[in-house]
Amino acid sequence: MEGRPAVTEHEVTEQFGQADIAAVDGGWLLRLSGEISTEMRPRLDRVLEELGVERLPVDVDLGAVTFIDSSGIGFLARLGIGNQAEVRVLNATGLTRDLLTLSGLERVLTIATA
Amino acid sequence: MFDSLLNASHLAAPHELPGLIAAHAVKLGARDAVVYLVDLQQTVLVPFHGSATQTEHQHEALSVDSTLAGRCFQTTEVLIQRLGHDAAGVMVWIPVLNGTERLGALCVTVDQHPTVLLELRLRRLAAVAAELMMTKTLYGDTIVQTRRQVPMSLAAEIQWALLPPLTFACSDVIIAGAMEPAYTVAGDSIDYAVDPGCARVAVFDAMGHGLDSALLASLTVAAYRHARRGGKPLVDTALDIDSTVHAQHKGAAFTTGVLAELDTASGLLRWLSAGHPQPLLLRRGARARALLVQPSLPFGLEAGLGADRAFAVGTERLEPGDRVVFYSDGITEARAPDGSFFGVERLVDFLNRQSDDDVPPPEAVRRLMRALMVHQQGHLSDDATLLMVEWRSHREHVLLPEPAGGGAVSAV
Repeated sequence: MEGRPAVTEHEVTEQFGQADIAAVDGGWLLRLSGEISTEMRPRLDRVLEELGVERLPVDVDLGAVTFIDSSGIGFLARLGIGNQAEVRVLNATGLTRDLLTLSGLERVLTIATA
Repeated sequence: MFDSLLNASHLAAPHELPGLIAAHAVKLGARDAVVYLVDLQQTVLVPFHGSATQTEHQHEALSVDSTLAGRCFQTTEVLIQRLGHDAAGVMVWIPVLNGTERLGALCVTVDQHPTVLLELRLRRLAAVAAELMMTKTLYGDTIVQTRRQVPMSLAAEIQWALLPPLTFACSDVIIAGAMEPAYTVAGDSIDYAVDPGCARVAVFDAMGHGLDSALLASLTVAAYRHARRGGKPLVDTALDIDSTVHAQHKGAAFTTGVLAELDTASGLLRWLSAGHPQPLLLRRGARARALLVQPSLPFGLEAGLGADRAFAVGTERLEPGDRVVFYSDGITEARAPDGSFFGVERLVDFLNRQSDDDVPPPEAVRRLMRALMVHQQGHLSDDATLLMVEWRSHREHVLLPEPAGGGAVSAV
């Protein structure tokens, strides 16, 4: 570790992808953007903790996601399984939508049609 | 005739096999016998010298795609090659097959075009050589090392140790599989078992990269075999795998997969998907289609649903000659430098073309993996795995050489 320049976690996650939580009417809006892959895992784990405190519906907007891998699928599955209220995925298109479907995520969350 | 070879083999170390085989060939009237073993990627045939001692002639590795030795390997036919102008005799290339799994080719030199009797004896020598290669592999590293062209990652070391032989055939089914990138594969795996009345197959993709991924795949395959060998039916096998992965990783890691079982008498296929690409059905004269079933969450996540967890089972009645292709997303998502995916359409087109040309599954799968590497210009960013099952095509004999005495083809 010695001699390595200090890199904040924010910088690291921003390079690959981003997760922003906003409060909306009676629930949460989680906006994911960029590349959702292994490098995002620490950030996504914290998102799960933050959203788990209150049992409110969550909308996950994937409109700005450019790539999603198994880390993202695992995150969405855990969110869908763990959340007591409805979890909806918004703006999933093309390959991302296909991946969500074949991953069996419709069993634990709603994939909203555009 | 072969007693002395078999007797000597009891006390032979793996690296002594080349010497034994060459000595026995001499007794048959053939000289310079060399067993070439195919590398893990099935691109080159590598001479197996065994010991470190240099032979009189230093043999080179031969390309599978562009040499006579390679043609012998591809077509599993005995081939005859004339020597150069000033040399007397011919070289005979004989496929070395473990069952129907192509291990490589045996090359010998004889004074003239072999008689039917000599050809039969040389084929038998190749058959015994194949058996010896298989039974001696585990006692030393020379055979394994010969088949590797570059250093292997630790993850891939784990993965290759898990794999069953990648080709199998009997009167009911032909099974052919492949896995790339061979030397750095981490999370993909395939497995199968052919038993009375039933062939069971599975393809897995453990999440993540490197060693973690390989360890997860190893756990998954062990859980699969444990349930299967314990006599568990399809869904219970899936539940066992799911519970095992969940117990170890608490939802933080998972494996996607498809499990299937084929009733080899009736052709009834049953399968389930844990978050994995659905298998494809290729039928002559029909459009290829995905075999769809309601997917469950990946193994290790579905268990998080508690009492609600379930694995739906799809059923399809196969017709004789049907091929079912199980694959991981690394096949269809393999990308060319311009960003284009290999895709399902290209996969289907390629395999249908091979079938139209009567290329049997093991060679079709080998060529597919080469095409995939070409598409990505040699660099695979993700594991790519494929397993093809062909039911009752009655093509299994194509995987063996034509009968002697008319089968041997003169060339060059």
